[in-house]
Amino acid sequence: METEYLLKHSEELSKYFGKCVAIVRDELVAVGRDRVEAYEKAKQKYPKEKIAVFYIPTEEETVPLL
Amino acid sequence: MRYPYVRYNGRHLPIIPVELKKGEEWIVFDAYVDSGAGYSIFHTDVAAILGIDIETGEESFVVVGDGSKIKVYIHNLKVKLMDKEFEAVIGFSHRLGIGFNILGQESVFDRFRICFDRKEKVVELYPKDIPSKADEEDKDKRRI
Repeated sequence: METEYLLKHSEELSKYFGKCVAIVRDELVAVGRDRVEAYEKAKQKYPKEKIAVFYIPTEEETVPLL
Repeated sequence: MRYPYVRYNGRHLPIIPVELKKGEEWIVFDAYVDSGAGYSIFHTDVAAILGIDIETGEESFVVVGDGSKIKVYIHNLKVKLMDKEFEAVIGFSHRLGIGFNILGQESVFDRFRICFDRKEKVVELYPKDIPSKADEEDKDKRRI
């Protein structure tokens, strides 16, 4: 499952809050200011692999949504 | 399938992976499961990755938490959730005030039984074509 990486590493990913990360085969391969940047960096490195792009929320965004 | 909540800043959030199709490629994005959202709203940078010109979609408005309306552009996209592929209504908005993609009711909650187990910190999704445990128990009762 692609969120496995998030489950294992979410606390350490907090340093990227407000940014996006790209995960390939359970490995963090790119960080970007937005999803496009993270995806394109990952795509350059791993053109044939399945890429997962996740947003890392700021602390404010983790309070309950209404 | 049980999706454990993802923990950020000490808070647990119902975030699950959703795949969207770009040509022949499936790309995984995270989405916050929100039963209060009428339909799914994704960020415009997701559309940019998929090569979608969002403004070609049908224009609509949704009311957000503070009562204001935001403009969304509605598209029908190929989606994969738990290896189930289907076409889903997804809105894109420049004005989504949070960084998450939102997975809402339209096209999703009618295909899956979704249970938020806050105590266990898991969100459970069961495709509607697969009988739930409750359905199986009902069937067993009827047999008796």
